[in-house]
Amino acid sequence: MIATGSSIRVLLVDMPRMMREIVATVVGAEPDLELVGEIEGPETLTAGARRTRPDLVIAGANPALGHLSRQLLGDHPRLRILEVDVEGRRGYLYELSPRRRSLGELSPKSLLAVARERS
Amino acid sequence: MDLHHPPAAHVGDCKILTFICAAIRLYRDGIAQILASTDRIQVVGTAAGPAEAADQLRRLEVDVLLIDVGAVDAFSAVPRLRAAAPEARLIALAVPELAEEVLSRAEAGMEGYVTYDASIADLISEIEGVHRGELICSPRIAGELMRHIGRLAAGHSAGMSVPLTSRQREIATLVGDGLSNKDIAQRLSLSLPTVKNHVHAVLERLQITRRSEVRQVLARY
Repeated sequence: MIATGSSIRVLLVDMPRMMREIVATVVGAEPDLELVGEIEGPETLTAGARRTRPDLVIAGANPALGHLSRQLLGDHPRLRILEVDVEGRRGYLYELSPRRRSLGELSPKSLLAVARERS
Repeated sequence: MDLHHPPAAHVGDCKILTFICAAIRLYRDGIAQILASTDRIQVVGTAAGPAEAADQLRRLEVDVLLIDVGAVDAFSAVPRLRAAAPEARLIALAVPELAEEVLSRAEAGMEGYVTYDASIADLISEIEGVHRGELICSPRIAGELMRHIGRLAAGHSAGMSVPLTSRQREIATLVGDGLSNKDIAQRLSLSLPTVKNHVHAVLERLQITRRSEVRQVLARY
């Protein structure tokens, strides 16, 4: 995907409401990040990505995500896909490239740092 | 986390002083960041667990305490957090909207609850509502609560009676007045070891560790 201007275009996918709002607020507060859409249900991810042309997808945990991200990355090799997941008493951040790689604990700070990598 | 408070002189008197205890960092830091940007709420601190929260709460003035009860031990720690912040109203976070859950939390001293499916706007309304002494909940939960109160009034349940025998209650009151074990033994004509046993039992039943907390805890019954 090609970034318009210098901002990183971010698409949020399928997260519990409060988490989605927190991530949207954290991303929206940064001048170099642009929230281009929020979609529910990973089955519409392909269509949503075509419509919003993100540089970065942040998705809630979903078993279908591995398969979908392989497809998406095939079509858009420069796209980055992050998965956020809550396991027990901790939240974790993963990158799907398309293999799932752990990026450590999920926090507003770690999310922003990862979002700006390679940009 | 590092919270940058405005100088005290610039903080309006009407701000709701809120403390967040949540294990998951995204919620803890994220909610703190969002609440801090509102006019009505000031975040005075955050903690990952009840022990850390209790330590901080003893040194802070707090109106509303937001507790992530997704973690089991947070629930058992409610009496400890209560003792550390006796003036604060408690809101449970992450509770699924089930009548039974809400009722058990109300009995544990929770004044409100918010689920993770709620919006941030809902959370802010809940903090403001609970601060005013209101509970915001669905009509179904309201119905369950009314029926539950009816059952309590009918004597079908023990409710929030003080969990002490009359002798323990008598000793707890004297401990609350600041008397030493020796004073209490003299006053009640008991032996010192007997008084020590009673005091130990009182602390255990009230789920506290210090005799200085007895007065606060008793005041709630």
